Amino acid sequence: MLLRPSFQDIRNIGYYLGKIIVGLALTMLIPILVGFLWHEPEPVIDFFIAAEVSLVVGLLLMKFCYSQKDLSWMQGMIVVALSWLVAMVLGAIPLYLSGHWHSFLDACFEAMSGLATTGLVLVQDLDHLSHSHNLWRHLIMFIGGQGIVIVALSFFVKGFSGAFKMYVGEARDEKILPNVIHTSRFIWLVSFTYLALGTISLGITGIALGMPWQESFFHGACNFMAAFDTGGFTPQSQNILYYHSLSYEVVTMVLMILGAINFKMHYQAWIGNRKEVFRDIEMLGFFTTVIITFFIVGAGLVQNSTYQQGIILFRKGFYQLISGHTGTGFQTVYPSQFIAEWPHLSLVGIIIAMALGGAVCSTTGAIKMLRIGIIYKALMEDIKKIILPEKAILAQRFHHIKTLFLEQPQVRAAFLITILYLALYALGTLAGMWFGYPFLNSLFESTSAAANVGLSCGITEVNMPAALKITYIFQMWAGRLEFMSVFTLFGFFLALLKGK
Amino acid sequence: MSAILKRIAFLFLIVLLPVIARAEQPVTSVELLKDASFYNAKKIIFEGEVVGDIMIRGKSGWINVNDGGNAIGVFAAANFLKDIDQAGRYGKTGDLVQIFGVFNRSCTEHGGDLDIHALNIQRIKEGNSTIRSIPTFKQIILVLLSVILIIILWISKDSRKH
Ligand SMILES: [Zn+2]
Repeated sequence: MLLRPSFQDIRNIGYYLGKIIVGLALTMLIPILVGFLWHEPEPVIDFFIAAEVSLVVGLLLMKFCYSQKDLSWMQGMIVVALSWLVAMVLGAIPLYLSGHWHSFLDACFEAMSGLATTGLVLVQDLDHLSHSHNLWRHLIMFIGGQGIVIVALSFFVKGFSGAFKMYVGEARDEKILPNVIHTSRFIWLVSFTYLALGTISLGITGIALGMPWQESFFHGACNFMAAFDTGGFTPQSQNILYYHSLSYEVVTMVLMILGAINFKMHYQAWIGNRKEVFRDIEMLGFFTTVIITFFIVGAGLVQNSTYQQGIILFRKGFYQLISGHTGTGFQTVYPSQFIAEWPHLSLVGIIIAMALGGAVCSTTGAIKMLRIGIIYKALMEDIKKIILPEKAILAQRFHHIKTLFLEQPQVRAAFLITILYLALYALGTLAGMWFGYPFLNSLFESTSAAANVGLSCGITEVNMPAALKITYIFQMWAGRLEFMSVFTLFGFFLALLKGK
Repeated sequence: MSAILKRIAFLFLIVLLPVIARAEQPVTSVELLKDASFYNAKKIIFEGEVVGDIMIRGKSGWINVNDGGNAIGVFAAANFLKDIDQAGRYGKTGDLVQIFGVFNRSCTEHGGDLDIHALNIQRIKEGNSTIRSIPTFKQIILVLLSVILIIILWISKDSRKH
């Protein structure tokens, strides 16, 4: 029987949503600061307007839904699912006011693309966008990569009562340290340390490339957030091609890989346990799938003789592959070159890499390595059951931080989420084909959206059908949250309508 | 005899003129990307606005030129780049330049990037400032929102006392 949600449910949800919105409004102070630094009066006004709208909405929700009760699991999930949608709408306000997006839907698309660390863009005339708006595009990748709820609630000292439930809702179910607050603090510590290191190294590289130092460090900070949070926005319209530099490609590639690694693995490496890096099922899975998918991409490029020299083939092929596999979406080829110059085989290699993704508890999207590893182990177990004499069967083990035994519920969960991702990829592919795009293009762009990658083969542009934009927004949202909170939200609405 | 020669020369011109004119016609970035293999290693003319940063690296350097469709990297000798005054960014339109150079679909010198190696760069139009005053509707919205926000803060402060 479906129970109609109580008034208390709605109050609790509203109260926490309000808190998160107020927290989000406070993050808009950062682009305002940047606007003052670069003397950009109109953009500053845009952000003041957006921050005030957010504060008004957030404070009203907190006032009218005031509650001191703890969040239930269901409520926590709904708060998460809703706060991502609300953050998209509020985050789109300053973008839309800039005049660089043709419609509010386009601005929402860009905001969700940023928050979900995807990186598909609908911005117009990016090369003339203000520093404050550009920083906001990149900052929302950082906020979304860390988890909107975690970021927003860190502004409140006492805001953590229901935090763990929301933490799980944001697809961050692995606790690194026993306590969720410590875990999120550790994630902050890791992220800020890398932020400093990454910005400095990209900044220095930029200066060496002949950029003025202010711009170098601005680009450095933006590109760090895009790389480490596996987002894929860049401050200029040419993406990474803007820099014309091998060293810039190398540094961003290292940052992308770091961003695709489980925060637990960062923790192990930080406390000196480096051996873990070569034993963990996710790391081994990542190495293996990178080699396999690069073989596919490379084979296609060789057959097609797209690039004349081996070293160029490697540089182009490997960069796009790592960008796709880590779910970042940086490109050193133009979107139209994918379709015009890359053979189907190579595109399929990239699509497979995008669909697999990086580690759980990182900022990548997609199925992720732990699930792939578990499914592989389960398959091996079943094959052994057939081949080996009955008594020789040993329980299957795998190494993920510690040695674990393969258990049926894990296998079941891994399979379920994998199937849901495959369905999500299929949904966008069908939608693309419905609107007349070829199969492979549709599959490429749909996988890129649902796996939060952001590589584009050219479908994502301002004139694409609005329904397809909405489909991609849904894919980015559901893919980033790993479904559960999204399903809870649908269940909640169903219960509101049909419950007793 | 000279009359015949003149006539031949004239005919020749008529035949050649469209070809010459075509060679002098700028190509758009969309055409370049679409028919990259066709234009590969050919001399082309490309026109657009210099955007971002002028990146001089020793004796040569890079600019990125946007023609409204896409921005394309242009590799050039440093003395050409020093003549460019302004690159486009927020609040500024960059210099409009005409590039005469060799187009590369996948440049072997530069890691396989699609680029243009400039043989000559000519400035067609100087860049200018595009900063506008803040539109009235934004000012009104800001004031209205501020008033609403102050009222809400005041009410919630008041209710907390009780
Ligand atoms: Zn070149």
